Amino acid sequence: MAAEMRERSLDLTLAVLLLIIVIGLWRGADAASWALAWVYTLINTLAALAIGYIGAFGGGDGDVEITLDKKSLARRGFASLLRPLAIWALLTLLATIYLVARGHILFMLPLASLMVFVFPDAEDLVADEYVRQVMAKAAALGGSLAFALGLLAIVFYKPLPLELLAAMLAVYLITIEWAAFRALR
Amino acid sequence: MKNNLPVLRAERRWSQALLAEKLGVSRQTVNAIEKGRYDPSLPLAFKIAALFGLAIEDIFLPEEVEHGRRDA
Repeated sequence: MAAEMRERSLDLTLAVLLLIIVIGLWRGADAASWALAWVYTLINTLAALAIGYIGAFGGGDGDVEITLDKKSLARRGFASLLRPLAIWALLTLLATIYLVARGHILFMLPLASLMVFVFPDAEDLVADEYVRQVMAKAAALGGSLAFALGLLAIVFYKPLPLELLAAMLAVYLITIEWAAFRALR
Repeated sequence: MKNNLPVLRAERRWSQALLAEKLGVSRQTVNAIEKGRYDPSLPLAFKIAALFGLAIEDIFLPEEVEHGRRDA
């Protein structure tokens, strides 16, 4: 049974932090903010693919284990705010605030979607099999809402391609996060 | 799927939180299983069975078996 279980470890946060620090020192805050926006979009695209994979092939029945930064699961209290995922989320929060202030208002959505990762027990959301199933089910609604927002944004706002993609992914994730929190109430 | 989890848990005076801790899942998972809102994965079902020292079919009952028993 255990041999059939597949595990995908997405421990990218430390590499991301190092990359952003290098870009920030080399090219300044503007370049670092856009780099974080690209990383946000890339990571969330991978997360969306993983959730889609669970929904299509795992169905939340335990065949697939998704682990984000597993080491930090044991940490609690103030120390948990120093875990790599929380630091990445805080940096990306600052970057999105910076981009919103520069007139890219759709980055308010990534800003909202990131709040969850700053909470101490954020990783527990994806570590629990019931919550995983709830998230996989909510993904369909999230995808529909993301497409609707994308269409409205193209018609009324004319966003940059990255801004549009980041906002659509954010709506997708906010829907899934909302479903997970509802399940955990 | 119906199950005897609340009864087995009550016999041992375990809270949902304690059972969840023993199984390595959230309290909400235990609650959802007990209420029949969520069918556990096979690995989790085996874990539950091992914890109570019973077979899976002694804990979980398919709906049709439940109906069959009611009809009999």
